[in-house]
Amino acid sequence: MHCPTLKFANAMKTMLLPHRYRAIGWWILIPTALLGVVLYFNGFDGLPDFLLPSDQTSRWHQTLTSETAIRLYNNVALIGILVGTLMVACSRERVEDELTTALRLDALLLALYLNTGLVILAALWIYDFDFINVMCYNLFTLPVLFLLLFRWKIRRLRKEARNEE
Amino acid sequence: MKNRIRVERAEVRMTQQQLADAVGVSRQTIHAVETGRFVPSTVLALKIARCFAKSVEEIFRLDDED
Repeated sequence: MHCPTLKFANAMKTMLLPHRYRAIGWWILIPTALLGVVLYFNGFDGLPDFLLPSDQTSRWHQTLTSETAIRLYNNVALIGILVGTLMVACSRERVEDELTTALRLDALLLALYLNTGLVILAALWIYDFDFINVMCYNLFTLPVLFLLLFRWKIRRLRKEARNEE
Repeated sequence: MKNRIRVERAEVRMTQQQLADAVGVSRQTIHAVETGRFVPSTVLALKIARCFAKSVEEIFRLDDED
């Protein structure tokens, strides 16, 4: 039967990752997010001193504090957060049906609106290098917002249906 | 849009989970359709109606607002 809604829903389903990728996504997201927080508090200038070998003359210390290593930490954090977030948000539910597809689309649209609003507010209120910092964080705010909104919608749906038989 | 899914389920003593399994969706989706929070696709509406051996118009009807 020709049904545009169903065709769209099926197309969306085929673009989703299998359900098992959600756990993999969390395993990637949580450590890389923690790494990102650590790097943030160190000004994205590599690992803080308490995570480095105490002997600053050692080869290991020099390797871990090199320019290449600092870039690697930042990339691992950024790419890990992006990949982990997408894996968690874009993996199928155990039962993937048209309602979850609709909720996923709503969450994506709302995340887009919120992210755009945040960028506009930042453009109005924040300037110079601070604005560049905001734009750097903006690299992953859209997928993170999408993940948070989608999981919130799913949780609310389950809560509403909980008391029914 | 209003529907009589809950009434039809009660008549045949079917749970939401059983109906969900029969039409291939989650129980939460059946609940959302019953409470009017979600409008099912044509295919899903037809599947639900077929479960109760009735026509779509006997299960679903338009509101004045629709």
